[in-house]
Amino acid sequence: MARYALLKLLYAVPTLFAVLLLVFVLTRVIPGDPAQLILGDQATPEAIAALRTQLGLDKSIPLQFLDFLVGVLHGDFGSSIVTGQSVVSLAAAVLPSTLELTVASLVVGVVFGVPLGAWSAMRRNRLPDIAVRIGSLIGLSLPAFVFGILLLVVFAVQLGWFPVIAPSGDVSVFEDLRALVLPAVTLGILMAAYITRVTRSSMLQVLGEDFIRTARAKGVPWWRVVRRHALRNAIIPVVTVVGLYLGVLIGNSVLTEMVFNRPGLGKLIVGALAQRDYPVLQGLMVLYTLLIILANLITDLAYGVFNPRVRFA
Amino acid sequence: MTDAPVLAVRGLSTQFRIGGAWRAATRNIAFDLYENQTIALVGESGCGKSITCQTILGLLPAAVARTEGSIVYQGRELVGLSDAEMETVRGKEIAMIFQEPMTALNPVMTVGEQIAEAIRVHRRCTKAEAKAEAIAFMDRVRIPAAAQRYNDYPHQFSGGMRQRIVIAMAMACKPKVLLADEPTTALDVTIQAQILAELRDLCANFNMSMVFITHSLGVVAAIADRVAVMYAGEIVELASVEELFAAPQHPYTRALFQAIPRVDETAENLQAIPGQVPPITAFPEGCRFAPRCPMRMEKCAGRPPRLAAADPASPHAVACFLHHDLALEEAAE
Ligand SMILES: Nc1ncnc2c1ncn2[C@@H]1O[C@H](COP(=O)(O)OP(=O)(O)OP(=O)(O)O)[C@@H](O)[C@H]1O
Ligand SMILES: [Mg+2]
Repeated sequence: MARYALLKLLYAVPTLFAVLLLVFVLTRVIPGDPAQLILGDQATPEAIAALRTQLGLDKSIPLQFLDFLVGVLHGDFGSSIVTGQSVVSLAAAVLPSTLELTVASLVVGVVFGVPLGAWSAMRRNRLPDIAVRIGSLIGLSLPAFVFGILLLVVFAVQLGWFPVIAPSGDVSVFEDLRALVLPAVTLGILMAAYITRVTRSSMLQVLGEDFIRTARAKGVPWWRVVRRHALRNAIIPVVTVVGLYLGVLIGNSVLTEMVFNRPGLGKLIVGALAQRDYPVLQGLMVLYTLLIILANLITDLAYGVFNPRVRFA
Repeated sequence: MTDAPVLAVRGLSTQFRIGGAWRAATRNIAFDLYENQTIALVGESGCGKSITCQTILGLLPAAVARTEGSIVYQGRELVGLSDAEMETVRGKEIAMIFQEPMTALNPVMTVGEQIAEAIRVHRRCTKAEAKAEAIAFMDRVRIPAAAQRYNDYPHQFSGGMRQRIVIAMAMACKPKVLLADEPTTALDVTIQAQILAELRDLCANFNMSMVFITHSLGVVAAIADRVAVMYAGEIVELASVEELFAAPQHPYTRALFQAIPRVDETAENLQAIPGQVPPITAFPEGCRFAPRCPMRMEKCAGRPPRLAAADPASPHAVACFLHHDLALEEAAE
């Protein structure tokens, strides 16, 4: 298992390099000169040139890339052009709240998605199935920010059950969780819709398998066949899909963080984009890549837990 | 025939819902299974053998299949029982073994758990007791190092070993009747012979009766006491193995005999039966075998022949106008 994990990590190295290159190129392609941006319209050409030298922007592009690579290898992603804070410390400050949101929405997705999908499969083409299918379609096509704002207006503004803006600083765990509910639901609904669909089709397939008939022929009660035989098999493709979707989820957290005004990687990256803060942009994109690679690794390992055929391979 | 049969099937018909209409896949199936006996169901692919067995256990989903007729197990009518009532019959009274050992086991459950489950759903006992008993059954069907292999998964076993697991699972509650649906077809010849021998042993030791499905008359001779030859959803000939092998009466049965490959014959003498079993949506009127029958007569296309003994003194029954003039009373469609 440990060797398997290590191997997977090694495979990630070329991916990571490609991403670094892409990120570097992308941030150079964005129009606008950061030095100009920082100093404003009134700056003299001399001052701008000086700042460009200081930021290393006067070097040739390949040299800049080399600087960037060496930095990354040392765990140094540079510092914000705007505030001077290191990218690592900026990211570290908000990473927990992004992870918290991701995990919470994953939980929402699984808790609603798996049972709904299974139920829908077992009532195939009957009313519950049709309702669940329509529901999941709506869930999938609902833009996160529309749904988020809807939730905010109803449950935070009108009913006042949840805070409109996430409290910052030291708050009790309860307050923290309370502030997490609406964003997690916003993001989790999408996840749930997705998981519902995957679980449903996976379950339909498994229910038609021979071993289900074998279990029934033994006299195993139907609900137990579903739980012990069907669901345990149907969950395997769900794990894969959830893993793949985790990347999308991390990406979607950007919008959710904006709507709910939560601190997080998403807000950080949007801020950096607005200010042409190259190092922060670069650093965050690399961090996202690392997170996604890590998510895939966890998925692979989880897959082994659910599927004995892989575990022994 | 002093005892009552363990299983008595009468006028059994399984119907599938196809394009909004109910179509009978089998019709007028009737046979008796006595204690310690094995009856073989023989016939080409698509004749309704598996459907008949699955109907006996009530395994076909009610949304697409319905059953008419009667299945009496030890004096108790099974047709019309609820699913919950059938659950107490399945596995405990009547168990089933399937054709395909590679897919019959749950891939994410250990084989031991799957056998123990069969025990635990029917009897109040501790996990440890069920486990010990499961291991004993694995031993009984000759799985080497049964105790160590209890925690292995199906993919770690060969086809023959998996079929043994399936058999152990079916035997686990010591059922009175075993429905074996081509349990050896997917296996190679040496393993086939071993499994057949073991099934015979188990039947004898556990006082079990068996309905054994097969394509092969060779296997019939090795395992069965009586044979029901099926064609297109009907039993066309029903006799003891000795009688059937000595004097097959139905042209279809004879054709089956001619289609057996034998070592002392050249390939040219081997006669495949021309034509195919019709799909259940296109059963012919009258005798269903008539279109393929070399001895077809005019009246064969009229009313369907009834399964009856040509000689009233003999239990050898055949559904063919060559042997008697009895026609099936208007079959309920
Ligand atoms: N769910 C179903 N819906 C409609 N028709 C079905 C269904 N299941 C089986 N049939 C049809 O019923 C007929 C009998 O099938 P069955 O599986 O009993 O054949 P069999 O004699 O066991 O054949 P084989 O030797 O290939 O296993 C076939 O024509 C088949 O197409
Ligand atoms: Mg079959």
